[in-house]
Amino acid sequence: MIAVRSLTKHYGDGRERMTVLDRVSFEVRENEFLSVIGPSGCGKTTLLKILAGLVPYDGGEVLIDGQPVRGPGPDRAVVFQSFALLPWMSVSDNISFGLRLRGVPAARRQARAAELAALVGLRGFESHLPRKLSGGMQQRVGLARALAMDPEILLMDEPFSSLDEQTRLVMQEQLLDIWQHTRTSVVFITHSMEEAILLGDRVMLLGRHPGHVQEILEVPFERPRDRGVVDSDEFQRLRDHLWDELRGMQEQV
Amino acid sequence: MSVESLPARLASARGSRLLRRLRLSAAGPVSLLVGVGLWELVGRAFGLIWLPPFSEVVAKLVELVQAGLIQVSLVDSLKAMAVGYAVSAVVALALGALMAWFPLVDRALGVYVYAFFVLPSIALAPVFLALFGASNTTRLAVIISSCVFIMIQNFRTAFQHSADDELVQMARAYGARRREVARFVVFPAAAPMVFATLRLGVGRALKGMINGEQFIAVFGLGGLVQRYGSQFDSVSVFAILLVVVVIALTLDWLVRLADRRVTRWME
Repeated sequence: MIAVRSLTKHYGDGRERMTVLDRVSFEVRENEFLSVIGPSGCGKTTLLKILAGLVPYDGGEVLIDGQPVRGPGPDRAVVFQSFALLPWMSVSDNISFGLRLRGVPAARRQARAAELAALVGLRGFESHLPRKLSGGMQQRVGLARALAMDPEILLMDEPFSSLDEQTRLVMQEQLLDIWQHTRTSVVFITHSMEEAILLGDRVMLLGRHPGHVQEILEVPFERPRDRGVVDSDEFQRLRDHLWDELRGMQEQV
Repeated sequence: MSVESLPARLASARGSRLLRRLRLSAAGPVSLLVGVGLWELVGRAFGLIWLPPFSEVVAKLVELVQAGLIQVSLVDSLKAMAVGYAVSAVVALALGALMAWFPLVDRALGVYVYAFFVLPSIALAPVFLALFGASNTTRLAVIISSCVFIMIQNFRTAFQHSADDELVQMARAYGARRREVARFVVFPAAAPMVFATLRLGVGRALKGMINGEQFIAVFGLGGLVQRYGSQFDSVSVFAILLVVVVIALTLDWLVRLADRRVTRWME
């Protein structure tokens, strides 16, 4: 479980100092899928990097299973917006990169990479280099690499936002499908309202200047979910509500 | 314009692609032949002292080799070059890496590296000569000073700027410590520039070798160039320079071979 209490983060010093996150508090429950949405400049990526232990914070608490976050840990795995694949390593080596750092022997690593490649639909591409793959396939590698760690928490930073529309829809369904089986906790940053509602158990809306929690919405749809819920009145209601809030923030500028 | 059937057009497209590849791979050798031919023609037509025909130069080279005048100098030069280049490469890699990762080292050494990079090493040759006499040490000093500084600068840039920040963050997120970030992210990202620099260094070291030997005028291929030059024996000078060029091309080819093995992922 993740517990964030009064998290505060500044960038810069003295008069240049800018507050990016201001007393942000929320929890992510065991096996929960939390979508995080907000306008640009609300600090959502910074928040994710703090959870990942990549960026230090200035105030408040970030606890995972009661332990304060002091750096990256094996309980968390990150999926990046830019995929962040190593261009000199094959698909298989990219997938098993974290296992290699853990000291897992080569044969076991390779076997696990093959399993995960099959799981995300990359069977037969294990020896390819990332740049020979389409964007969607590259992000599948990114997802497989995260799953290889058997993480308790999956941290996803706008993972599908650089993909084209059709690929994104396919990836959303695939993620739901995989998550249904693995049931890790997920923090999923997005700027798409549909994506936030379709995937999340709850949607956390962040406001900006400085970044703060505006609202946390419960998404009532049952699991397993499919795209059909998009047409429901409840979905429209949630979407309209998010849009009202987000539009309001845009106009404040 | 004639109307061709689709298969015919496809066949001709395939044919022209083959032709293009053939032309590309033939360009180098053909250009070389034309150059040598021109050299031969101009040399014969004008009888210039400073441009003996190619055939004469080759004949002279054979003669020098048969008389055993080149082999000793060649081996001697190559040994000095190998030692000087190896020392330079290792020192430059170490210093370049230190400067890339420790700003303090960068600030402290940067100005010296740049100053010596700008100075032509031949200008330093008299200093080395005064220090070490007409010895192998002087030659090594000229070789090293002519290639080490530019290599330090380039290696520093390679290690500092090649790795994408997001990749470094990814590696850290997946549990990489400093050493592993270097091994799995920074070094592979820097490899293309490292090899480009190693190639550059070979050329520089070779020039330094000839310059140094000419200056000392006692040993090596540069010593021969100096001796024949002062005797106005331009045919022999050209024969030696031909050997130097062949060495340069061979070494460059070797480095490129290694480069292609390591950075295959870029193709």
